[in-house]
Formats: sequence, C-alpha cells, structure tokens
Amino acid sequence: MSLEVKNLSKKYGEKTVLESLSFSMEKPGVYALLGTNGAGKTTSIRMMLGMLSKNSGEVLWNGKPLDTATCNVGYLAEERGLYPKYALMDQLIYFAGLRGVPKAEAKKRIKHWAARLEVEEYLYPNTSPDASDANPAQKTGFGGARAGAAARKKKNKPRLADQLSKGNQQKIQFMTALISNPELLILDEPLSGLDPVNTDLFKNIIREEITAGKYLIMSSHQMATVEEFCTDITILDHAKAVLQGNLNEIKKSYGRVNLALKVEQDIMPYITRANVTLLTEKEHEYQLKVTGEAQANELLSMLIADHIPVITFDLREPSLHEIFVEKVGGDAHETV
Amino acid sequence: MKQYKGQLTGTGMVYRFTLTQFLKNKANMISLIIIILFSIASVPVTSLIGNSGSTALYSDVANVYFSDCAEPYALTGADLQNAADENEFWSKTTFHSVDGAPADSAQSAPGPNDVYASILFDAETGTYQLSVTAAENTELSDNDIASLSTFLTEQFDQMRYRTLHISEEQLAFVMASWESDTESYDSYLEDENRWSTQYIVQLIYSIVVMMVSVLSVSYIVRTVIEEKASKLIELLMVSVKPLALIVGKILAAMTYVLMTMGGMILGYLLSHAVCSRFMAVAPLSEMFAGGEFSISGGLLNFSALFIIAVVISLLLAFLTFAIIAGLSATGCSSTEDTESATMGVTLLIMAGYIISIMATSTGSETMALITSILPVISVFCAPIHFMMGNISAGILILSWILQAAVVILLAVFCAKVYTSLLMHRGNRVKLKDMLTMAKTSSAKGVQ
Repeated sequence: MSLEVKNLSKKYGEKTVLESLSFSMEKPGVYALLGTNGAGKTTSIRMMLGMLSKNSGEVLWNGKPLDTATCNVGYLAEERGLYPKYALMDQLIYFAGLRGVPKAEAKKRIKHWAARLEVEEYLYPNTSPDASDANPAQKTGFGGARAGAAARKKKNKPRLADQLSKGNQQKIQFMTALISNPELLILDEPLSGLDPVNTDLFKNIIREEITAGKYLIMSSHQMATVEEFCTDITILDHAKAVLQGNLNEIKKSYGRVNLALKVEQDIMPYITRANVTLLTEKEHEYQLKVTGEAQANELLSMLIADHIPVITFDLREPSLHEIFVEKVGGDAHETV
Repeated sequence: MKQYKGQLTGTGMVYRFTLTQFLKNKANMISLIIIILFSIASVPVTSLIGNSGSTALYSDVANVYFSDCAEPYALTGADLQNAADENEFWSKTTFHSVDGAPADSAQSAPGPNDVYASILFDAETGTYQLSVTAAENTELSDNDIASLSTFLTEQFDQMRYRTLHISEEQLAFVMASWESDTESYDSYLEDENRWSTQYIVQLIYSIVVMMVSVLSVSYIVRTVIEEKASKLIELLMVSVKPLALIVGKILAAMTYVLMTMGGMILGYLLSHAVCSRFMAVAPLSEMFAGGEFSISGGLLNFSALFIIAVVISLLLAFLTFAIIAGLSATGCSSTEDTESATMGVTLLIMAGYIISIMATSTGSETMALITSILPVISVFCAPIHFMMGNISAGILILSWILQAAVVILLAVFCAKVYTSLLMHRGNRVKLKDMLTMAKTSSAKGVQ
C-alpha cells in the first residue's frame, strides 16, 4: 500500500492557500504536516479527503484516486463535533454504519474502544460501577427507596454528547475515527485540549495503530509529539512546503549543534574563549549552540586540560521545534 | 451511473438515522401528540358545535299539549301521538289534547321540557298560524321548538290532504320530498354553484400542500443546521457523499411528515368510530361526499385519477420546497440562522398558497391555465383545476413536466454547490454567492 500526494494546489480567487504540495508514504508510519496557523495544513487534509475541490494535483492510494470507496479512512477533524442532543451509542453506530461496519460488529468495536478510552460509564451507564450504588432504601426507608429509584433511573439514562466534558467528547470523536479499523488514519491536532492523562491514553492508542501497520497523517503544533511518532514531515509556511523529508535525515543534515553541559563551577571564560554561543545557564548547567562536533570537542578539551570535572556532556542534533522556528521564522505560534 | 450510485451510497443509513432522531426528539413527540389530540378532539367538538336538535336521536320535548283543531281539518293530540309513534325521533314525546284552551295558558305546562301548541286559522289573512309556547323555565332549545313546529305543520298538512280525500298515491305524489340530485362530474360543471365548490376544494387542497411543505421545510432546515452547527460535516463527509446526506434527510423529513399526517387521519377515524357510538356524528361517507361543505358528491367521488394527480403534485411540491430548504439551511453556519433560513422558503410557500386561492377566486379560465403551468404555483392549483375541468389532462401533465424540470434543476444546482456550502463557515450564503459557487463548480468539475 502507498499514499501519494502530487502537486496539490488550492486558490481562493487570487489567494493561494496551498501551492504544489507533494509527498508520499511508501510504507506504514506517521507523516506529519506541520506549519503555522493558516499555513495550509487543514486545507491539505480536506483536499486529500475530497472535501475541498483542488485547483490542481491528485491524491493516490495504491495508485488509485483516494476515495472512501478505495480506502478505509479514519479521520479526526480539527473541528470536533457530535450531535449534542442524540444518544452517544446511536451516533457511534450511525458513524460505523456509514463506514460499512454492520451494527453487531459496530457494537463489539464500540465496547472495545469504550474500554480502551475509558468512556464506558457514558456509553453503558447500567453496567458502570456508579449504576450499582448502595440502595438508598436500606438507609432511608421507603421514601429513600423511591428517591433512589428515581435517581438510578436518571443516572442510568444514556448520556448525550452535550453532557460530556470536552475531553470525553474528544474521546468519542476519536472512537468514530477508529471504529472502521481504518487503513489510513488522519489526525488533525489529535492531542489539543487534552489533559496529561488523556494525552497519554491517546498516545498509547496511536502507538498501537503504528505497530499494527497503519498509515497515519498527523497535523500538530506539539513538536514533541511529532518527534515522538513521526518518521517523515512536511513543514508548510504561507501555503508552501518549506521543508520536507525524513525527520532523522533532516536532523542529521543540521548536524549535532546542541550541547548540554553540566559542570561544578562557572565556565563562562571557556565558553567565550571557544567562541560558543550560550543559550541558557542555570546552576552550572549550560545549554550551548555549537557550529559542529569540532567546536564542542575544543571546549571539552579546554575543560579537561584545566581539570574541570564534567558531569554531563551531551551533543545533539537540533530539536524539531528549533528546525520549525528556523524555517518559519517569526510567524511561528506553535507551542512545545 | 456508477458514479451517481456512489453519490447516493449511504442514503439509507442517513435516512434511518435522521428519521429515528426525528421520532426520538421530544419537541417532535409533543408536536405529534398535540396534532393527534387535535384531530381526535375535532370530531366531538365539531359535532357538538354543529349539533342541532335535528341530528339528535330523540326530541327533548317531553309533553306537547295540543289544542285540537276544529273542522274542517280536525287534528287532535291523538292524531299527533299516532304519527309520533311511527317516527323514532318523536317516539319519546307524548302528545296531549287540550280542548279549547287558549294559547296564553302556557303557564299550565307543567315541566321545563313541555310545550303548549295550537293551530288557528286567521280569516283576515287567510292563513294558518302555528303557536308553540314553552314555559318560562324551559330547557328546550330553539332547535327543539323548530323541529316540533316542522312536525306539527307536516301533520296538519297531511290531515288537510286526507280531508280532501286525496289518495295514498296522490298524497305520495303531492308529499314527495325534495332530494338533492347526485350529479355526474360532467353535469356538475354546469352547476351554478361551481365557483364556491371550486373555491372550497382549492382552499382545502392548498392548506394541505402548505401544511406538508411548511412542516417538511422546518424539519429539514432544523436538521441540516443542527448538523452544521455541531461541526459534524467533516466527519460525515469522510463517510458519505453530500448528495446522499441531503437526500437521506429529505426522505426522512417526508416520511416523518407523512407519518404526522397519517397520525392525524388515524386519530380522526378512531375518534369518529368511538364518538359515533355515543353521539350523533355525521357518517364518514356523508362527510367525504361533501355534506360538510355543501359540495356535490359527484365532485368528491375520489377517483383514482384524482388521487394520483394529488399525490404527484404533492410529491413535486414537497421535493421543490425540500431542496430549496436544504440549500437555504446548508448556507447557514449557526442555529441563530434557522429562522432566516426557514423564512425565505416559508414565504415562497405562502406566496404559492395565496396566489392559488386568489387565482381560483377570480373564476377565470385563463388564470386557471397560467397558475396550473407556472412552476411552484402549479403544485397548488393544477390537480384542482384538472378535476374541475378547467384544464385538460395534457396541461396537467405539462405542469408536472415543468415542475419536475424545476426539481431536477434545483437538484443539479444543489449537487454543484452543496459540498462548498457544507464547508462554508461564516455569514449566511446568499443566492448570488450560491450562483457564483455553481459557476466555479461547473468550471472545475465537482469533486
């Protein structure tokens, strides 16, 4: 299987919102679409999925135009939505049905994903621990029994979407993307708005999907997350791809220029003498920018020669965050 | 064809889901219950309002103290009692003879359901005068008194004929009652009451078209805007084509409206069946034969052709307004726009309704022809004008073809702009913008 995006372009009148975007995924993995707000990430995704018309270009899945008929796609849209007043179970069965999942199978998958995403209590209120609370009749007599029965009846009613927190709504939306067991999973800002616990929950599922050999396209502003999952990236800026390729190779091309140094005394004279750029310093922990391994080794040699104990010497490639900021300059508004 | 089929894949799923949600919606449930309750209540209420004593099973008059008539046409309380015994309506009323009692002795009538009656000859005018007097505390209605008056005059007339030795045959000949002629459809066209009949039929049909259309429009607008406002469009568009999405919703709205109408009819029939056991209710056959509206039975002898004409026109009306409603709603992004999205289509329906009524009220054949051909208006007028003989079957079919062409054009327009409208965010899209979208879409090909 392969995904190929060729010369995708989009204009609104005279304004170009995407210019000749091309990339491909020859094997399963995660491809990241990065860019500042309004750079064209979501537009690219919408065009890939056929929601927006293209001015030029094509999107191929196994050599055929990408379509819901040719590819089982799961999509977590940037604009999250659910029917606010409809029962969650009805909605999930409906979305599964639209993706061709039979009702019985859909129910099985909903049960599985409800457990994985920890939303069982909203989908199966009668089987959740809360539903079997202590009988109030034992505590307060007949009146209490009636009140308890009424309360249980109310509690056991399936939840509607608008009764859920934003995070839990996002989990249900993630379920809709996963329910058809998609070959290609497109996640537009999947982790935005999630607390750390739920972020980890989502990350674990994404890892499982990668392990299962799925093709993932992810758009995110969280560079750390992208670095964690993605093998290939495209950075978009003002509708154009300014950097593309394998993330490791991109990093290698920048060389190892980030030096983290921890010592037990002030070494500012050495840093100045070696002509190394100081980024930050905190209690003799230095973050430095070097031009390459030679400059870093020169600094290390000076310290060793003067018998200055070095606790940490970590020379690394630049982070994706740094690469991103360098490429899109002052327009960057992403968060790390 | 394959592509077209692919465009509609998932329609059934959208239809079932939308219909189920319509049925589960509390507001819809309450509306449906209210509509059914109204239809159930309409039978007893209209019967009670329209109920005159004449439709009751028995007269409320308990005793009639009749001042016997003298020669030459002697009519006594005993004669009246004999006649009453043969008439079920008067079978519970007792007629007494009062010899020579003056008419003003009504105070002697013992009960509130009793009356004093006399027939006197006025020599000066040469006419008979019937006097029926009730007690001050009478519980009898004007209708009861009127019915009694009719009965007494009829009996007195019969007595006169018998006294003049008119034979049974002659009497039957003379007393033959008037009966409305059940005219054929063709002969009805020559009836001088044709205008009022046509007006009433047009009014009823236009109300039905308006109700079906307005209800459908409100459901379609609500469900489309709700989906857009809930930011679900992108999620849905991964799974289903926009055309399938709107077709599924339109069909669901049509089914729901038909179910509502069916509920109304069922409620009415049920109420009629129950009420007819306890009170005087006009038989259904009489109602449908036009008894309620003084329409000739011949006209409303629902022929298969008439029903087909009505169903096709209703379907075309529904599709026309449903597609416009779908377009109007898809151009909106928030629930605040619901009213404005509904308003435009409702005004169009109201215009069709008013023009159809006004055109019919003129009685002009030219107007009938124009309104039967003019798209949108024709769905209100064509079947009625056809049944009234104002237009030929050919014109009716032409009006359907024109209206169907409008529906197809709207559907094609909808297919061109619907995807763009679904993805639109912001202010409500105006017709001008939609036309631009359609042009752009035509230039590039719909994706």
